[in-house]
This record gives sequence, structure tokens and C-alpha cells, in this order.
Amino acid sequence: MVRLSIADHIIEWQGEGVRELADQTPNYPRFYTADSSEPPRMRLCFDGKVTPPATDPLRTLDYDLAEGRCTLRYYEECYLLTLWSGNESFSASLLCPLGEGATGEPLHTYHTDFPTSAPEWRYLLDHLMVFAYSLATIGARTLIIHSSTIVHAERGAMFLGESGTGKSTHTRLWLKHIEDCHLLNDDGPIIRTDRSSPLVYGSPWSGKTHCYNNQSVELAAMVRLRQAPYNRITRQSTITAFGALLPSCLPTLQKRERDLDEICTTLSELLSKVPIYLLECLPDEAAAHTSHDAIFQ
Amino acid sequence: MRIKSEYKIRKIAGENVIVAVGATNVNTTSIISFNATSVELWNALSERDFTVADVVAIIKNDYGQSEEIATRDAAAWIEKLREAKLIEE
Repeated sequence: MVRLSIADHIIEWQGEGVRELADQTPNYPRFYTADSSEPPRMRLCFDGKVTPPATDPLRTLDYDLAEGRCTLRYYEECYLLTLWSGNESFSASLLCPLGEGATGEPLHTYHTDFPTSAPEWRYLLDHLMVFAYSLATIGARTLIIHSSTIVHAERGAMFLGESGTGKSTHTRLWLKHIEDCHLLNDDGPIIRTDRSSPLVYGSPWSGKTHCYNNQSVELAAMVRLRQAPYNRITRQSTITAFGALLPSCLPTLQKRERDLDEICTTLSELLSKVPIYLLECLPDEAAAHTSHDAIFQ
Repeated sequence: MRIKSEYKIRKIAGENVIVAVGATNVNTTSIISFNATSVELWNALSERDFTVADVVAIIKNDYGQSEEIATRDAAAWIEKLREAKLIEE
């Protein structure tokens, strides 16, 4: 068995070989916990029980990964996610029944046929885990937000934007030119709004950067990046900020009304408490100072 | 015409918005912000068929506007909903 604490949610992997699988990844061991005081929020059983319902899915969504592809099927009572490697030589599925477990049991129990002997496909396991984690924690004011996140003076600043807008480039400029800062996570940090003030947590999912800090800090600001031939930062209105944040949350969980309700509730709380900026910027030192000065001074 | 049943007004940090999620996985979601009048029209006309005349009537009766202004505002409101594909004909 593997017990993980990710953004203060207990996640359990169950099944033969799961410990060996997790031990061979660079990211999950950082999130091991010995805490066994409460049932997990989510238990992922590596038991192969991924048979979908006999009925047709309500909808089916096909999408590409950087390497590989996915099919997500939405059923009345569950989600079924199937992932393929780039050359289609490997595939695995995740079955997530909706609804909650009984008292004393895990709140959510999901199933996968991902082989525990296949650590080489860990990027697909990561994608599977991101989906499972997001679904299991969506009702607990928890969201993975696609961003590169820096910690400065013990507070977090998240930089958002579509792929290729220079999120990682910008946070690297901070590391080089701003004192007292480090990278919390480069791709998928987690925010929680069910604390006295919103917190941002490191996660096991950090894109191509091996940055798996198991740390949390108070969230100071979120900044949407846009490339421009100048550096300028402006505070965003609620509506504009909401429009910037929603696409940075897992799109596959925005198709079902009750999931979207949960995401909107969390974003609404976030927007009430944390300033959101638009940074139009060059990839230069002055850009880092521009965002630093707006957020921290 | 009729407001599509899958859409509803959500309150986001004090603002009224409609989140129109795109059909694909790429980001085609649009967010429409509503003022108080738009919210009232939406609530009055949801879950039933309505005509331009129905919208004009609400604006005239509830806001005391002239036929001319009500007709103009009704057309603008319907156009905004059509643009965002929130209406089925």
C-alpha cells in the first residue's frame, strides 16, 4: 500500500506492487505519509476492475496528450478514462464511480488496470492520477491550476497562460533576478480555498521540470501572462480574471454541471480573496521586477 | 425561441455570469457577464418558449420604458444571447 498526502488530502494506492511502482517514480515518494489516522479521501485500487456500464456513455471526449491520447467517457454513474501511449503499444484505464463511500471508508474508491510493473509509462500514470485526484477533491475547494508557481518571502505567486506563453521562462527570470525565491511547481500546483486564506501547494505533477516540492504557502496573487513588446501589469476585473482562471483548470471536469458548479464555487472564493493580474511582458529581467513590484510591494 | 436548458446563471465573486463550455477539449469556453436587467429577463424567460414581443413586454412593464426603447433593448439582449449560442430557435 502507498499512502500519499497531496495538498493535505490523503490518497491511497492499493494493490500488489504499488509500493515498488511508486518507489520507482521521481515524484510520488516526496508525498509519502505515515499518517493513518483517517480514511483516505481517495483510494485507487490497481485491481483491473475497469469494466464500464453496459449502457452507452452520455458523451465521449477524445483528446491528445503531448505523447499519446485519451478517451474520456461520461456515464450517469461513473467516468471511464482510457489512455494510450504515443505508439499505442500501451494503454490503461481508470474507472471512477460517482457518489461517496460509507462512513469510515474512503470517500471515493476508483479502479485502474494500470500495470504496477510499468514504471516506464509513468507519464500516463501521472495523467490518470491528475484526473482521479481532481475528481476526488473537487468538492473540497481544491483545484489543480495549470501554472508555474514561485515562492517569494514565504508567499506564492502563480503564473498562468496557455502553453507557450512563457510561464516557465518568467519564473526562471524570477529565480535569476529576484532574491529569496524558489520554484514551488512548474505545471500543476494545487490551490485550496477552505483555509483561513487561500493556500497554494506543490504537487507530484510538474510537467517537464522535476520540481516536486511538498510545501504549501499562502497565495499572494495570480498572474496571467501574455507576450508583448513591452512590460505592463494591470489588475483584472472579476469577470476577466474568471475568464483567465477557468481555462487553467482541468477542462475535462467542466463538462458535467455538478463538477463545473464545484469548480466555479472554488474560483469564486479565490477571486474574492486573491488579486489577479494581467502581465503583458517581454522575456527579460524588467518583466520579473514588474510583476514582483506589483505583487509584493 | 427558447433559452437552452443546459445554461444557468452562476454567481462568481458577486458577478452574474453564464459559463458556456465548449464541446471539445480545446478552450472554446465563453463567459458572458449579465447585469441585473439581463438576469431578470433570463429568469423570467427560462424554461419556456418566448418571442421578441415577450421580451419587449417585460422591459416595458418592469422598467417603464417606451415601446421604442424596449424594442431596441430587447433586440440587443436577444442578439447577445444568439451570439453566445445560448438560444435555440
